[in-house]
Amino acid sequence: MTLFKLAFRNLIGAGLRTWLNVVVLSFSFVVIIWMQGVLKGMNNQAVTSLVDAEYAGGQYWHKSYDPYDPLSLQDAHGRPPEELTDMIEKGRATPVLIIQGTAYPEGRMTTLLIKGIDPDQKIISLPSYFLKEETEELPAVIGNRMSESTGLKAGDTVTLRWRDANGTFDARDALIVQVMRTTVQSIDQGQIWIPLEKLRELSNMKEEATLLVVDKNILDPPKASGWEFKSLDFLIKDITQLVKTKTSGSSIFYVILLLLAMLAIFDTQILSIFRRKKEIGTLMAMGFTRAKVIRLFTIEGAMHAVLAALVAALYGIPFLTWFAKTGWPLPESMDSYGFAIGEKIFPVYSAGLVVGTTLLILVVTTLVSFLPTRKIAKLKPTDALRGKTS
Amino acid sequence: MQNSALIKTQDLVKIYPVGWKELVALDHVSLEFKTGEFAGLVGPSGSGKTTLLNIVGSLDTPTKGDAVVMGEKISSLSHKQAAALRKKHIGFIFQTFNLLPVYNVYENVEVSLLLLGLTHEERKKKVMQALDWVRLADRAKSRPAQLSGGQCQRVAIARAVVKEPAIILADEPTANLDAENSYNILETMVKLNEELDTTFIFATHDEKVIRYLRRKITLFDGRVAKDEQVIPHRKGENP
Amino acid sequence: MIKFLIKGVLRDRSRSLFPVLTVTAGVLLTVVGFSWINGIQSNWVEVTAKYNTGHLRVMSRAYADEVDQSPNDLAYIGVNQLLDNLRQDFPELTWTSRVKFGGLLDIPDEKGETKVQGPCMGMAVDLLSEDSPEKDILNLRDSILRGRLPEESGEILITEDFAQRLGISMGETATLISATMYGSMAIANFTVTGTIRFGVTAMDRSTILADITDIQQVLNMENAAGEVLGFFKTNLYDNEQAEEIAERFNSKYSDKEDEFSPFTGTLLKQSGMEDILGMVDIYGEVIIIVFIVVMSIVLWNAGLMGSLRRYGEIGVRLAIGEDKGHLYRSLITESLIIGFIGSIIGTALGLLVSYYLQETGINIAFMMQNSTLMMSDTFRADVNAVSHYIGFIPGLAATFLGSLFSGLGIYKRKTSQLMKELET
Repeated sequence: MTLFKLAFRNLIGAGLRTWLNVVVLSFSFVVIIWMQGVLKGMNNQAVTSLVDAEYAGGQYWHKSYDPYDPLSLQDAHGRPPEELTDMIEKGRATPVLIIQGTAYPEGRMTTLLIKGIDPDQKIISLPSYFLKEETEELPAVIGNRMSESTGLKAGDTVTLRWRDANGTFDARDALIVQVMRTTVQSIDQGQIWIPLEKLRELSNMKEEATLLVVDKNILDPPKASGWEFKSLDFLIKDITQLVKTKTSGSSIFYVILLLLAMLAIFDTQILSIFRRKKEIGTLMAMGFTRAKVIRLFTIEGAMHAVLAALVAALYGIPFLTWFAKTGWPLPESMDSYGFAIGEKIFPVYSAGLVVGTTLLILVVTTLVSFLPTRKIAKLKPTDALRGKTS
Repeated sequence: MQNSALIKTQDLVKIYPVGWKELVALDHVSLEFKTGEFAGLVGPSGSGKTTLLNIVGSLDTPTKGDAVVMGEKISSLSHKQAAALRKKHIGFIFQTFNLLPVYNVYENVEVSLLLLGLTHEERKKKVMQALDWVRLADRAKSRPAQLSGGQCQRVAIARAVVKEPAIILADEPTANLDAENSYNILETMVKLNEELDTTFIFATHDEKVIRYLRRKITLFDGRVAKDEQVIPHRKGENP
Repeated sequence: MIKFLIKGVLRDRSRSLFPVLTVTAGVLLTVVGFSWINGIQSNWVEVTAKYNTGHLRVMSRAYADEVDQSPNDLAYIGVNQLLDNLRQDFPELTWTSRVKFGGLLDIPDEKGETKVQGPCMGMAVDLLSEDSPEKDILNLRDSILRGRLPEESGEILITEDFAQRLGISMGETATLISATMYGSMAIANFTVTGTIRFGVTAMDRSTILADITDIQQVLNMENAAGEVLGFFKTNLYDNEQAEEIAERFNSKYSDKEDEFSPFTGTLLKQSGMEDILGMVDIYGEVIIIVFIVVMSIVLWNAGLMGSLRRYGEIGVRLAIGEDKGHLYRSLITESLIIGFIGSIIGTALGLLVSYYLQETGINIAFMMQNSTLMMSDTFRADVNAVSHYIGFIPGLAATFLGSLFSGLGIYKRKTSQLMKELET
């Protein structure tokens, strides 16, 4: 206990020099926690939105289906096998049929995907219940981005044209019953949603689907021939990759920041030992072993991290809390990236993040404080008392 | 040789606050020093020797009374004026030599002259002359770490004397030297005093130094206890 | 005196090593960060200009209002005269017309029935004229992967990814199904002569490149074009100049009451990236300021410790008559020398890393799958003249500030107090 008290007094006694080091180190704390919080928030937001609006507990894809290749849709439809229809009947999954089509808003030609979904489904948050509306034309729901790029609003009619399963072209008018606001572009850009049964009928694809969205609580999705199960991890891997890339980018920033702080502490330790040779000699004369003296100086250095954590908490907690409440507004064009993040990022600070960061900084600081103390091991007490280096 | 008063202190008082109390370092000290003197302030630790030297050297200011050095009143000097006084007229020699470790002997002596605006040739001439005086011209390129204690102190003397100041203040110059080296540097300083007419004032309690003095001022508790002319006894001479 | 200070700095590692390392670290990051951000910005400007808006874009007012839809029904009619006017009034730019269109590309089988049909994006540019600037602007000669450039009317290029998905080979026929300017269906057969890769995911997905005269005929757009793009002959986008040209053009030719009068917009305003670029700029400036602050604090501390290390020297210099102000200034000068050395090393290392990032780049195609963003798949750094000196700003500013504050301790204390340290 004496060592800690002694170390603390020495540290405080150094005055401004200590506090300058502490401020820089505390800055590292706050910056690391903040940036990691933002990245985690970004990840969470995107994943939550995607899960709620599109992926739920995972999807079964028709073996020919490739979401990035509209040409694959020609063949990517079929009747789900018994295991899967079973799930559909129990309300544990909902089928989606997708075909290529063209729309003619205001006479202009726009290619898009026509997606059919069960208006009664409760698996995803897409407002399919609007499709229950009884209309002369086909009821249809589009997203806000689709609405902007086509100029279509709720209440507008648009001609849809497609090729059915036999290759025959057909067309029908659709009525936009609802424009949904969503951050998830993959259920919005370049597509239109109509009732599943209507689409099956019009495209001559009775009882068929392109994919099945499975309930969030499904634990063990069964195997189905001709259909591949895509887990949530697979489906969100682009977001995960993005966060990983951004994390490694920001890591360089942290590393340099910490490096600067560690350089300062290393230098402080070297000077400390240089200036306090007489004190070291005196301590040894009083009975301190070399190891104990080394421990004393190491603790002094490491205490910078402790003080830094306290100082960081002082200004960090109000700042980080405020930031978590207000969020970080993103410029509109960030939307064009295609990630379902929304208008603001709300950082998420977990206990693990805070503890992890604290431990990291503490360990690194202790190590850096220890390195210069090895000089003490070579010091002769008599020389030290005279203020000489051995 | 010895005529006008170069340094005059009048009822000089210096008080330091120490915690709640006051420490009287100098208590009404009145002294005069003339050109070419070889004088010493002697007394135990805490008698005020260094304090007096610092005031005379314009490094510190008196609390009461005054000191007039080369016609300048110390208490009324701005720090620029005090620096100018030291730059031109006062040389210092310290107990711990205080050479600059990264510079060689030549550069350590030259540093005094850099402030005087001399040309490179003028500086070179003076530095080599100073090194000749202390018999270290052949070690001009050596670093302090390569010199003995005595050699280091001789470099310090050369640094103090290179600008040919009117006054040299030496605070315990032999404290870190053995007997042999102590006598060597004392001989050097006596020689310079005689050749250049420089006033030397020492603060010391080293018997070897005291033997070389021509005037001995004993301080005790900040006061002048005794001020006497003495006969110097150089090395080898019996007192 | 400067020589004296430089000698001291170079010979005494303990006083210079740590500050030099500090400055080097901060400067390195500044240089790399700047070159990286510069690279991203320049790439984005280049790609947006080449494939989307040019440096300036002239359209009819009505078209401009719905530009995201490429509404050819609102295209500018009289484009030949418009081009002449532009080339005469603004000769510092290269002007070229383009038509953007959407549609379906239908690949027939041997019987002429649809084998595969997929949605496509189309860009019609002047491919066939001898002196067409588009071959250089779009870097077509280097982007050809298979086959050859179109040489006659009726020939098109398609992106390699698209060609592979369609399963189409060179020389095969592809039918374009689109809509004319007047809303009726347009169908035309083309021969695919070659494939290209733009290196921009949003375009490589499914784009066809056709000659503008062909498309004008197919879509009933004689003497009409959706867009006329202008490119600075220097190839470098100058926003100030672009705004000035746009202003001049609009005041001369544009009429707010006439929705079919021509209107010019700059790259920045038209692409909607003004705010993101602004954010990136601010982000960069904030990083530099943060580093100046952090480095200053660290160097302030170093300065304090330096004066402790050199208490003997400082005492001696005061004793020999150097005045406090001069001493303070010489310590600042010394720090600036050290800062300069650190900035040179940091800049050299930073440039090394930046050149490496410029050459190899980082592939971010995985991020672009869903993207409609006009950016290359590979992010590269861009080292320019500014990269060579930008590091000096935080490097010198931090050392100056650090020594300014640490030296205050010397300046404010009494000489006698400083001398006391000499005696310790």
